[in-house]
Amino acid sequence: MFVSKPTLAIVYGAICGGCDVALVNLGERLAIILENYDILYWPAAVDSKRETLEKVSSIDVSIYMGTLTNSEEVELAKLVRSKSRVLIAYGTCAIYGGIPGLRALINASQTLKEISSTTTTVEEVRLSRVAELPDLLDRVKSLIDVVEPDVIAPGCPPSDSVNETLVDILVDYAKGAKLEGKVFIGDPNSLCSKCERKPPELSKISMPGIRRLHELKLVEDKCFLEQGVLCMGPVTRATCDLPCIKNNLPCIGCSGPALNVEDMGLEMVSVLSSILLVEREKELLEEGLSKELDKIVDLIGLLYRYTLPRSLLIKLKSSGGRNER
Amino acid sequence: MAKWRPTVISFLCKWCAGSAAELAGVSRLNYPANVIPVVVPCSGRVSPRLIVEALLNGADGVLVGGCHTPGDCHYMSGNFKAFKRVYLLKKLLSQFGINPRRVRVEWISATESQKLVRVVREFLSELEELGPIMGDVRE
Repeated sequence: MFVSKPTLAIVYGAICGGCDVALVNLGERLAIILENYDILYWPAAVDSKRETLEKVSSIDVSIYMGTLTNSEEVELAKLVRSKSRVLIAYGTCAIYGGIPGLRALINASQTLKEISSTTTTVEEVRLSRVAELPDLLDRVKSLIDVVEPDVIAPGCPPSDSVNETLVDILVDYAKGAKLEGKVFIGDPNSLCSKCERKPPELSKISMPGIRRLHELKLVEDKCFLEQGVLCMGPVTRATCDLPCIKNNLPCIGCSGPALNVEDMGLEMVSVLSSILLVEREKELLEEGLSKELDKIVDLIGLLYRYTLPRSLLIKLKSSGGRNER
Repeated sequence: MAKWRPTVISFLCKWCAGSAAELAGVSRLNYPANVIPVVVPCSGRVSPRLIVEALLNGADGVLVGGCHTPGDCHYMSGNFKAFKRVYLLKKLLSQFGINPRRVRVEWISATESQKLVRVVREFLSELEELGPIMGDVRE
């Protein structure tokens, strides 16, 4: 048991703010957290500085959101890890890199060059020489690359059901319960296991080609893949409440890889190859098949939208083929 | 210093390319020893993950050998699966800035031991031109 209320720190890396909103969206449940915890640090809600974190001897629970893109964020992550009894990686960015993680393809100087002197910006941007800015990392990292969290809450942003579980864990912990090992919140199976559109026999799914959403009239209760629409469901963890599927949009893989899937992209390549045009292979031959496969315009954007920094090919790029894993 | 030689992992299907490798051995055909053959039940079984793992663990190129299309596959259509996997993986590799020529798929029947030797020699000289995989990724 805690003598006084346990402390809670909510710390940011590179975030869009969606994770914060997801927490605030807890509504009444948020009040339960506030009843049980003293908020030590949360830039969006309380007035506290980094010194506050540096001064305290220990923090009971820390929630980390966002990707690690510069040296300051790495220091902050290490700081909260060393002081926290429980560290929670919250949201896909902290776990797999998320959208800011797409920068993993280029290094710091290429990034600065891109934003300051190419046509993506209208005017040339001069970087401030007055203020001392933290160094951009050459490779974007996820929290897991730097420190070991105790609780993992995936989702972009984490869904209501993930948040419910998280609040339960937080409340139990404040009442003195111990965490047993590493907790991975949410259903570890693939999204297809929960999907209502899946056909009765999963092994018989066949893609009739590759179609973009505007090219066809979607049948609302039929599997996306069977209609030719690229859906990341087969390799994605089923932690969400299927908001996209229910709104007639295919899965884009924001919850990260399902159990036993280490690399979403490579696994999805395998899935697509197994189901694409299986009935017409002998008629189309290599030429026809490659023509159809060429219809996928941006493979990285499709396969690694949320998990690029943790993909094996990024590892290959940074290790140079001399296994450092 | 000795001349750099590429390392190649080749995944050969048991029924065609793998048998061709056996035949090449029995017929005493010479080919360079820096190609490491791994015989698998079917080329369609070679997942992209397996190929990338090979590259991660020190291979400079990966060769996938299967039965001739359209009709030779022992399991009906494993070779088409292999083709699609390798085709997509090559596209992905080039988007990552890794030369897609480092991965190659070839159809070699059980009797074509000569073709296997030719393909291996060709592939090795191509890789010698490309240099170690380090060069691709450090750019």
